[in-house]
Amino acid sequence: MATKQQRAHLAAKRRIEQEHAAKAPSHADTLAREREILAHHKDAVARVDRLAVQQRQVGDELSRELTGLLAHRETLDAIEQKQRETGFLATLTRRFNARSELLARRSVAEKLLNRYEAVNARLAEAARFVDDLRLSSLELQQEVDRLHTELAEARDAEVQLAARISAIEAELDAITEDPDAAQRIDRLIFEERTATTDLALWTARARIARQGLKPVRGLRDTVLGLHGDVARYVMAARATVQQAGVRIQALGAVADAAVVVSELQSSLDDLQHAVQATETYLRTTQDLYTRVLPELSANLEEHYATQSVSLPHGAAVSREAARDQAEAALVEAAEAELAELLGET
Amino acid sequence: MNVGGYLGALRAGLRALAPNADFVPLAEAQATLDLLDPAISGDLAAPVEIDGSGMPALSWLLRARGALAAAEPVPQAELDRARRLDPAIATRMEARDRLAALQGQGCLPTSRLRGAVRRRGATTDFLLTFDRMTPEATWVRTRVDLTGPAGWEEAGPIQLNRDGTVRLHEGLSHLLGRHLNTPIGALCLQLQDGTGALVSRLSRGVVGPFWFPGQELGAGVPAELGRGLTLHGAREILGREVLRSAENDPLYALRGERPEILPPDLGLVRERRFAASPALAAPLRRWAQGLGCAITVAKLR
Repeated sequence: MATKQQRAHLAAKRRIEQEHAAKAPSHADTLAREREILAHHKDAVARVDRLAVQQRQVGDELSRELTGLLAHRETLDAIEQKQRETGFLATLTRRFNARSELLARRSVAEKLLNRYEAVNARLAEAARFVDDLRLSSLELQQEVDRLHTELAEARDAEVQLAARISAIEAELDAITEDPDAAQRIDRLIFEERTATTDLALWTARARIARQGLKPVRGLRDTVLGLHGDVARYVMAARATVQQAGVRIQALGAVADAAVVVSELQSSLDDLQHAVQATETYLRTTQDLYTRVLPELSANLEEHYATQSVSLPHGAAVSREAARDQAEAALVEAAEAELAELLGET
Repeated sequence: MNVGGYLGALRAGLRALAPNADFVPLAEAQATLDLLDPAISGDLAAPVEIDGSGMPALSWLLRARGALAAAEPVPQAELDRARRLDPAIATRMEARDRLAALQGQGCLPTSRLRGAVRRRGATTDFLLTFDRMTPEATWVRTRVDLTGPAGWEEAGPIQLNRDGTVRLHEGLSHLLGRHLNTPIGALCLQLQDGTGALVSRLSRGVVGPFWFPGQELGAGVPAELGRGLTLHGAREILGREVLRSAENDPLYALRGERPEILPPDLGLVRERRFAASPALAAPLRRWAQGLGCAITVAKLR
């Protein structure tokens, strides 16, 4: 007949076991979560790939339209050159040619205005793209947060289970020679095996979260970089284009005011810089295609290849193995905590 | 500034002016104002810019047109995703979605030239319609009725396709664009020179300026006319149909320009209609009368 104290002890044990059973992820859960993370990664890589292609298109199209806008500069220069000529004949004919030159300027203004409209449409597309990038980076950050939470949860569980296994081991060492403790020993061995399996599952869960963090963080940083680059570029191009637009309108309205023409020419100079900036920008993002994205894809492939070994097998474990596993979990948790303190995670 | 109120007043002004075919199409003008409305385009066309004429500045319109051209319908799932991640982006996406729905409606173009054949027989008659947003932010339509001898439609700058559509030489649009401010008589001569046909009717309809409190009215305009809302609709018609020339445009009269030399057999009517706050009807008429002009004032409601 069990004493009151023994009954209470057993009840407490059952409660702990139930808690472990409820908390520990099943094989199926862990596998499903791993597949989910991998699917998210694949989607995210595909999305970043699409964004990178779009980024290139946006840059190319803007560059083409800005170059088109600049193409009319030569005509404008030729008109203004005529105006500046100081020879006798030029002075004599200027009065007679003034009207035709005014009309020629208006023709340039007409063409510039059409081009300007196309540039505005491209800028609106680029602004939409900036929003797409921002959403993608936020989504990836959410995934990073989720993986961190899962990693922390898995680590806590690992520490608790490792501590429990150590306690069981200590108790087993103490009662192993006691002939009246056979039932207790059996129970403790059962509990230790359960805890060891749970520990292995949590370790797998922690590994999945830890392995998942690197590629997601890499993708997030890539998208953040893209977002920053494109947003800065679009903002600068918009300001330049807007300034040129005001002057193009003025050219159409008061084409005979020399100051407007010279201002417009300086706007076109600014646009030239914007085109150069686009080209530099496109060249620098080449790294994304040639290195960053292939590297991310390769990491992912590697992850796929190792997924089958990331889960514990169901075979029974010896007491020694359980002790080693508990110790390893504690060491790993301590290392992870240290790495976190040092900002290495 | 209350952008919604400003655009609402312009809409009401357009309705009251009830522009006919000599002006840019009312439906397109209304759709253009919809495009600018923050209730539809959000901040995609921002910042709000109003020209000295009181009309929406061309740069504001071009930004809005750019946003319209780039707009695409946004799937519900994408909207939900954006609402979850960043409500400000979701708001912009909703605006893009609304703009995409507007793409089917015609908006005023910055520049558009269309041609149609009116008659083919002893003569070939064409109608050209040139719509343009001007740098002064007014909306201008130039309509030209051209009559040429049979066969000129096969070699000139306006050609008739077999399917009845009209092919226009690019130079025509430049010609009309360059002469937006040229006196209408001189424009008529330029068009006859450029096309080799006779102009039987030429009209130029201008929507704008739009006067509202705080707006610069221009030299010679009494300040009391700025105490309400006034949208202008000015029209010049030069044609054989005009038997008695008339000058009824007070702003033209204020400029005190010399009378135009008109091509023979063509009369010229110059007029200005106003869509104005009820309290401004009488002051507007008094002012115009003082300048010898008879005007029409439609009351804004």
